Amino acid sequence: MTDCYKFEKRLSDFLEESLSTNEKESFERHLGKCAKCRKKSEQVQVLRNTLSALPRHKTSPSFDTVLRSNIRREIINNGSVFRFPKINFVWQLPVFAAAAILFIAVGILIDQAFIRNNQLSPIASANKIILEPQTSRTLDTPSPHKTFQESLKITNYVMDRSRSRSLERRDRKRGYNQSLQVKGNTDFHPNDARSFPSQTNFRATTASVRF
Amino acid sequence: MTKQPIQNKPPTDEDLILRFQNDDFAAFDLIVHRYKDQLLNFAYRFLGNTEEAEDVVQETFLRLYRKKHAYRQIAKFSTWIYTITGNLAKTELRKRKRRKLVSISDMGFEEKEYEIEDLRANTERDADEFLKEKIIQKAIDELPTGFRQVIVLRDIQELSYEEVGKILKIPLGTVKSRVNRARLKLQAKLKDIVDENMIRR
Repeated sequence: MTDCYKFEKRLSDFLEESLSTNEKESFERHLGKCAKCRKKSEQVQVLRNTLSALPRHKTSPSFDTVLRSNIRREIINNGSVFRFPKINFVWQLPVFAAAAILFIAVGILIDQAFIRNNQLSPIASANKIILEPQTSRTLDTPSPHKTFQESLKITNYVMDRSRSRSLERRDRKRGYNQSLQVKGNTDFHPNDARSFPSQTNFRATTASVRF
Repeated sequence: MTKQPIQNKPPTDEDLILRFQNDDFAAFDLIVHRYKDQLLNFAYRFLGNTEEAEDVVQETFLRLYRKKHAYRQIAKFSTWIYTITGNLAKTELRKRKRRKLVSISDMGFEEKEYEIEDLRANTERDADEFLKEKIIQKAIDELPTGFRQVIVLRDIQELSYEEVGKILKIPLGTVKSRVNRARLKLQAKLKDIVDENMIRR
């Protein structure tokens, strides 16, 4: 049974004849019985005709002139002498972003691979230049710098020390100075971050810029 | 006017935009000529205000000029340009709402365009038709935005359901049910006019 609600819901489909034969027959049967729906369907049909017969509004006669002057202004404002290459940012921006992420990821992976193979990574070997004269190691001893973080700590420590004499003096007073200058087995080993003097200022910002 | 060789068929919209993308400005003029009036009618029926509609269509073509390369061959050109006009019209509506907070009087029959166009309505029948159009337009203006968009595109601009769906980026089923509901709403609002038209028919 088709009720009025159902009919109303599919009224446009009925008027535009996009119903299946079954549905159409059932709606027609309903229309035969229900005067209210019959009237409504006629009204909506007339409404459709009325809407499509509404007068078409047109642009004003000055439309083209105004458009031309708008475009001229546009050209002047943007400067037609030099034009940026036409980049469609909608699709190119994500591509740039992906490329940047890939670049960083590959960098990290390479560095990690060096570290895993117990070799000095490019970053760590840069640190080595500074560290080598102070922590004399034989060539066959494995790198003490297990992670980048540790090597960074050491670098910063050494840099701070070399830069600031007052710090060195303070360290000497506290008895830390030997740990880096004495060769061979000492109480300090760069591998062990815990043996670092805890009161020294570590500056994390300078390292990457320096190398 | 155009430098194109004589063809049996006029160039398609897609041909024209392609030519314009290759800096053929005559093609741009042809596009403007083809679309300015239908876009204006669309914007006018959606906004209910001639001046705003004209601004919207101006801006549409300005955007087309500025961003001609944003158009890709995958979409139908008409869908693309209707989408631009539709979005601009919606923005205009939001702007107007903000303005409305200040002035409430500029609605309905007291618009200045009424006085200008009134001169044309010299016979009684013309005046009658003119008034009727105003009432219908007012009823359309009172529909919620979503309903207004679909009914203007479908029943006034007479586009296909598929095209309406693509322009508004809504699924076909939603377009159909929305059009149906918009018609019922409008029919309820315009009962008198519709009944009168039924008798005349």
